[in-house]
Amino acid sequence: MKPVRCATCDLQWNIRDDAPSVITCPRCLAALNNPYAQTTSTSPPTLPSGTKRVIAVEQQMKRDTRAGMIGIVVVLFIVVFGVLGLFAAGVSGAESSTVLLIALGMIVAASVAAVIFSLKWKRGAPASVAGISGGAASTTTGAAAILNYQPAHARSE
Amino acid sequence: MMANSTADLSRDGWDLSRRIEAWAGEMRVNVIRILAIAIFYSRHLIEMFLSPRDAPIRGMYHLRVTAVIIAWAGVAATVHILLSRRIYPPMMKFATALLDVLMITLLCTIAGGPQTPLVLLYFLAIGTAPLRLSLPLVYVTTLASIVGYLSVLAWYAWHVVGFHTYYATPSLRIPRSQEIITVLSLGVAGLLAGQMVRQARRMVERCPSILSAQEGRA
Repeated sequence: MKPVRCATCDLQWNIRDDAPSVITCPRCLAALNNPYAQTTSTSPPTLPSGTKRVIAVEQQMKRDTRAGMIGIVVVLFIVVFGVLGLFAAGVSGAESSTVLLIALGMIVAASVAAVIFSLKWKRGAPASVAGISGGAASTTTGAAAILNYQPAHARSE
Repeated sequence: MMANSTADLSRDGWDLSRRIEAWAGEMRVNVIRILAIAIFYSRHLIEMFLSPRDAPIRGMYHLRVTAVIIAWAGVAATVHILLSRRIYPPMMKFATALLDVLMITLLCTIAGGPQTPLVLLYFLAIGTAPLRLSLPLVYVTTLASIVGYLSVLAWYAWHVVGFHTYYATPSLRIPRSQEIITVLSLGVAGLLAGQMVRQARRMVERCPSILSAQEGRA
C-alpha cells in the first residue's frame, strides 16, 4: 500500500502497489497521475491461465464516455427517423403543423445543445498527485497496463 | 473507543470506495440505458413500418412513445454530460432510478396496461440499482417499481376499463395470482439486488487498501 494525497481536494488515501498509472480520487473523482507508477508498476503480476483482469476505473470511464457519446448520436438519429415516421404514417388527433413544429423544435434544440456541448467540452489532463512517503509526481498518462480486462494468455502474446 | 474508530474507518473506506465505483457504475448504467433506448425504439419503428397503414401502433400511439423516448434520451444525455465532467451528486442515482421507473410506467400505460410485456422492464430498473452500490437506492427502486406496476394496474382497471365494468367482467380482469406473483417477483429481485450490495461491502471492508483514508493537512 502506498499513501497518496489528492491535489484537488487534499484527501489522503492508500493505493495498491500495482495501481494503474492514472488513479481516481475517491472524493472529488479527479483523475490523478499515480506518483509511484514509474517506479513500482513496471510489469503486471502473473495470473493463472484463464483468469481475466479487471478494467481500471479510468479506462472504463474513457470507454463509456466515448460509447455514450456515440450512443446519444445514434439515438438522436433514430428519434429523428421516428419523428419523420410520424409524417409518413400520419397522426390522428394532432394537426400536421403541430407535429411539424414539435419536430423542428426538437431538431433545433438538439443542434443547439450539441453545439454548446462541443464548445464547452474540455477534456482535462490528469492532475498530479503527491506521494506521501516519497516518489515525485509523475506525468505518465499511458494506458492502465496493470488492470486491463484482457485474458492473461492474450497479454503474454 | 478502538472499536468505534475501526468502525468509522471501515465506514469511511466503504463510502470512499463506493463513490468511485458508484460513479463508474452510473456511467455504465447510462451507456446501457442509451443502448436499450436505441434497441427498443428501433424495434418499435420496425414493427410500425411493417404494420398496415391503419394499424393501432401508428398514429397517436407512435407519437406518445416517441415523446417518452425523447424525454428519456434527454435524461440520458444530461446524465452523460454530468458524469463525464465528473459531477456526481449523491442524489443523482435516486433521480435517474426514479426517472427510469417513471418512463417505464408511462410506456406501460401507453402500451395498454399490465398485460404488456413492457412490465418486464421494471426488473431491469431493479437490476441497475446494485451497480451504484447503494442499499437505499435498491430499496427505493424496488419500492418505486412495485408502486409503478400497481399504478399501471390501477390505471387500467379504474380508468381504461372503468371501476364497475372491471370488477363485473371476469374476461377483462387481470388474474389476482398474476398481480401477486408480479409484485412478489419484483420484491425478490430487490432482495437479490440488495444482497449483491451487502456482499460488495463485505469485500471492501475486508480489504485494507483504502481504510486509512483521511483528510489531508497541508
